[in-house]
Amino acid sequence: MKIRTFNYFFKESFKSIKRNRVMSFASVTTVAAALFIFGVFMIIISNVNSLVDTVENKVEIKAFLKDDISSLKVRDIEKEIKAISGVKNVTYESKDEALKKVSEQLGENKDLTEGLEEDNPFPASFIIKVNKPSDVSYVSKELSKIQDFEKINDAQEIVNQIIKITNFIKLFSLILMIILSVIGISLISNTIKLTVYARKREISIMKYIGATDWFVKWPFLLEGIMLGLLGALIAIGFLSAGYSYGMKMVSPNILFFSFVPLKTIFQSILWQFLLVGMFIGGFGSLISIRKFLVL
Amino acid sequence: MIEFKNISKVYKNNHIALSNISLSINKGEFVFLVGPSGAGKSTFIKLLLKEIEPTSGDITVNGVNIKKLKRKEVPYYRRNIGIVFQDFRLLQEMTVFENVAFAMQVVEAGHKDIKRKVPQMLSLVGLSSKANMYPHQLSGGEQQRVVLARALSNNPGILICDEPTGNLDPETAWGIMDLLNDINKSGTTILMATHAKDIVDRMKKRVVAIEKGVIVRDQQRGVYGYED
Repeated sequence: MKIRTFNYFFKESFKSIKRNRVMSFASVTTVAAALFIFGVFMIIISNVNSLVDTVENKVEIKAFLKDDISSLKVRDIEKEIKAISGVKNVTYESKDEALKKVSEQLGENKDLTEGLEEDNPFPASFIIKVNKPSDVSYVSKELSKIQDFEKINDAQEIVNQIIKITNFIKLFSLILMIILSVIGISLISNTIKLTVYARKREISIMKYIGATDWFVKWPFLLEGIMLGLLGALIAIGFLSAGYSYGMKMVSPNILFFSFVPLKTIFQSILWQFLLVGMFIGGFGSLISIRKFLVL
Repeated sequence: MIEFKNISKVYKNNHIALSNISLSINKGEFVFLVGPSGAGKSTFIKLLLKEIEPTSGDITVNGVNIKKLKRKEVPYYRRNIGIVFQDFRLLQEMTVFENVAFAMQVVEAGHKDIKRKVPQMLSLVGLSSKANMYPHQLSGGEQQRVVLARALSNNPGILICDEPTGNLDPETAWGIMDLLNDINKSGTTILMATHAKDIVDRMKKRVVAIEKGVIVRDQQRGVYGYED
């Protein structure tokens, strides 16, 4: 196709967008809103994932000993634990230490634990740190082979819970995006319909002169794609501005967690957004071209 | 060049527009298509443009049976046919120059070709000085000249004129006819549907008269044959 022909297509598309200002604006806004909402959730998920990583990195396994285990036995068990591959270090926490820790955690209410020294209900435990998060499940399994533990706690449960929540957010945002995309597609298709009607005369002349079907169709397709792209760009603009602002506001108040940097997030979503925007626009206009452009 | 062979066209409402018409037009001929309104002239033109399909029969143009043309091939077929309408159908938001250039753009002619050819066409129809005017600034005759320039810009072998003088006063109409005559003399086949008795009678060209879907008369150097 000739560059000049393409210039003509672009000019026509811009003209139409200007002519159908209101509908074009509505379409762009809807696409932008759809992608913006999706983007917000993607940012949340991306940060939650990073949080999960942080949690996993701090993962330790707590294995509670059964009562009535002699200190001699404890030392044997400690050796046994250290022999498991993936274990970084092992700390023993006696019954007394456990009680002290609990009463410290209770703070002002520490008197609740008074008198428990005689019949300490808190079990002694081993706190086991592992080399890598992925070692957790193996080490847990090995620990459970040792008969002397009452209970083994690892963070797997918390991690799983977080993953469950993220999956829910993912699904929710996906559904929301699909709904908004459908609205976007139908708005774009209506905008294109207006263009088709506005250019009816021109199109009939073009057909008499011998324009090919695609020559007639291209400006409409481009118009839709441009509307979708514009929506995507606006969404990206608002997201990056909003995210940087949000990070600035919240970051100083949170110490244990650092946000995923803007650049990392946008590296992955920029192209996705542009493609989705183009798809919504192109698809919307194709619907109208098929329905209303009688060639 | 153009051959209609046993062409019938029955519309969906069972209206018989053309019934078993056979007609042959040679290259370089100038043919008037006359007859009362609703006789089938428009149907004839639409069939030739492949805007509609005949119910039966074959149409051959330049040796090609146009019934067998694929949808994709139709635009290329139409580029060989220029068309002039009674109501001009110019694009109002484009200048005279742009209207003619548009026709060339649509068939994806090169930039240089367009720049060279458009002034040529405008000079042919005598409108060089009005290239930058808009259609509404022109008289009816001038607008029809623009249409002619547009129709001829892609060098069609056939020019179809559907009542080209229908909206023009007699004097202006004759200006257009002189132009058509010149175009015809340079080798373009012209098929003109008209109700202009005066013009048909004085041009002394081949006249094909259609009535109620059949050809009732086909004479060389003919006359209009109907009362106004």
